[in-house]
Amino acid sequence: MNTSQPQMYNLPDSDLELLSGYIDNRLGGSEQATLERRLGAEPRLRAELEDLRATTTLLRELDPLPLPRSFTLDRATAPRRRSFLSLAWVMQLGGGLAGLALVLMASLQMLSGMAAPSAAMIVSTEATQAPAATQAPTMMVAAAAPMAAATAAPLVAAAVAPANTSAPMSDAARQAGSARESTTNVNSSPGELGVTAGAAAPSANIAAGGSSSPDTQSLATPASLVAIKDVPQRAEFPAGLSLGLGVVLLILAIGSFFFTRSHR
Amino acid sequence: MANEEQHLIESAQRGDVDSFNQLVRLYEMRVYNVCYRMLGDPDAAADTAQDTFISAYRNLDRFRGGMFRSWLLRIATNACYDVLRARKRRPSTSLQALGTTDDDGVGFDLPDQGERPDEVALRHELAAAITRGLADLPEDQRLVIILSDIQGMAYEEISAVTGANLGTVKSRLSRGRARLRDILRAGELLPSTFRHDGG
Repeated sequence: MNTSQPQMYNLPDSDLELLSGYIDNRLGGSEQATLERRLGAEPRLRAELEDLRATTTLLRELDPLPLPRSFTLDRATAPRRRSFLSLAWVMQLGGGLAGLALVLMASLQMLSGMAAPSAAMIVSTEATQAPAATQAPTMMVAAAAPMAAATAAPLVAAAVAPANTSAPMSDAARQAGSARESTTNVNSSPGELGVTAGAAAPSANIAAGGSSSPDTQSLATPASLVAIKDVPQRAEFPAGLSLGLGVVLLILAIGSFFFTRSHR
Repeated sequence: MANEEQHLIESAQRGDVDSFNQLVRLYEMRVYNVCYRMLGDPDAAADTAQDTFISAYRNLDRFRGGMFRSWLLRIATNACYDVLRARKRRPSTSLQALGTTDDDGVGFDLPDQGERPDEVALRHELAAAITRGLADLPEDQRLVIILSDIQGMAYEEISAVTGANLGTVKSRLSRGRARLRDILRAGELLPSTFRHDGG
C-alpha cells in the first residue's frame, strides 16, 4: 500500500485554462494541436489533465437533490405583479421631479437675488443719511428722471456696477456725470452717485415698463426714498432651504429607485 | 417546446398564475439544486428557490426575450448572493458547517439496483467531499462550477447568468476545477494513474 502524499503540480493559470478548455472542447484548432503535442511530451501536464477530467466527471455524476416540496404559487396568495404605474414608481418619479423643481427654483432665486439686493441696499443706505443730504438726491432724482426714459439700462447698470462690476460703464458714467453737474450740492461720493442711479433705477424701470410719469413724481421726495426702501420685499421661502429640501428629495427618490430595483 | 414555453410566458405576463406555475414545474428542480449547491443547506435553498419564483412572477414584465432559464437562474443566483452576504454579517453560521449537514445532502440518496455496499459508500463519500469542496471555493468560482459541471450549461449561458464575460467565466471555471481537484486529491478520492509519476 502506497502511503506517499500525492504530488501537487503547480501549473500556471494559462495552462489550467488550456486544460479546462480542452476538456470542454472549447479550444481552437491550432491551440488544441499545440496542447496535444505538449501532452505527448509532458507527463506532468498529462497527469493534471487526467485529474481535472476526473474531477469534472465526478461533478457531472452527482445526483440531483429531490425537491422538498413544490414551489408553485398559490393563486389566492400570488403576489401582485409589479406594474408600470406602481405606487413606488409614481412616488419616486414625483419626488424626483419635485426635488428637481425646488433645486431649479432655488437656483433662480439665488441668481436673481444677487442682482436685486445691491440696488435695494444702496437705497436703504442713503435713506439713513442726514436729512440735508436728501435735498441733493431729490434734485438729482428730479434731474435724472427725464433722462431715465432715454437711458434706463445704463443707469440701472450704474446702480449695480459697484456690486458686480460687470455692466458697461461708459454710458452710465457719462449720464451720472451729467446728473452731478446739473446739481449744486452734490458730492462725487459713490454713495450719492449710487443714489442718483439707484433712485433713477426704479423710475427707469417704470419708464421701461411703460408706466405713466406720475409715478416718477412720487419719487422726487424724501418720503419716496423711504418708500423705495420700504417697497416690500416679497416674502420668499429662503433659497437655501429650498435648495436643501430639493436636494434631499432628489436623493431620496434616486436612492429608493435603486433600492427597489435591487430588491426585486 | 420553445414555442410552448413562449406561450406560457406571454400568458403569465398577462397575469395567468396557472401558466406561470407550469413554468415553475419546468425549472424548479434546476433552481432548487443550484441554490442548494451554492448555499449548502437544504432549508435555505428551499426558501431561496421560493423567493426566486415569487420575484420572477412579480417582475415578469422585465423579461424581454432570450432564454427564460438564464433569466430565472440569474434571479436565483442573485438571491443566493444576498443570503451569503447576510450570513457573512452573522458569522455564527459558518459556510463550512453548512457544507457538512447530517447527511451531507446524500441521506435521501437511495442505492442503485445492483450497487454494492462499498460502491454506495464511496458514492456518498465523494458527494460529501464535493459538497465540502464547493463550500471551500470562492463564491464566484463555486457558481461557475455548479452551472458548468453540475448543470451542464455552456459558457455563453453561464456568462448570461453571471453577467461576467466569457474570459472571466473560463478563468473562474479553470481555477475552481483546480481547487476542487486539489481537495479531492488530498482526500485520495481521485482515480489518478499518474499520481506517483516521478517526472
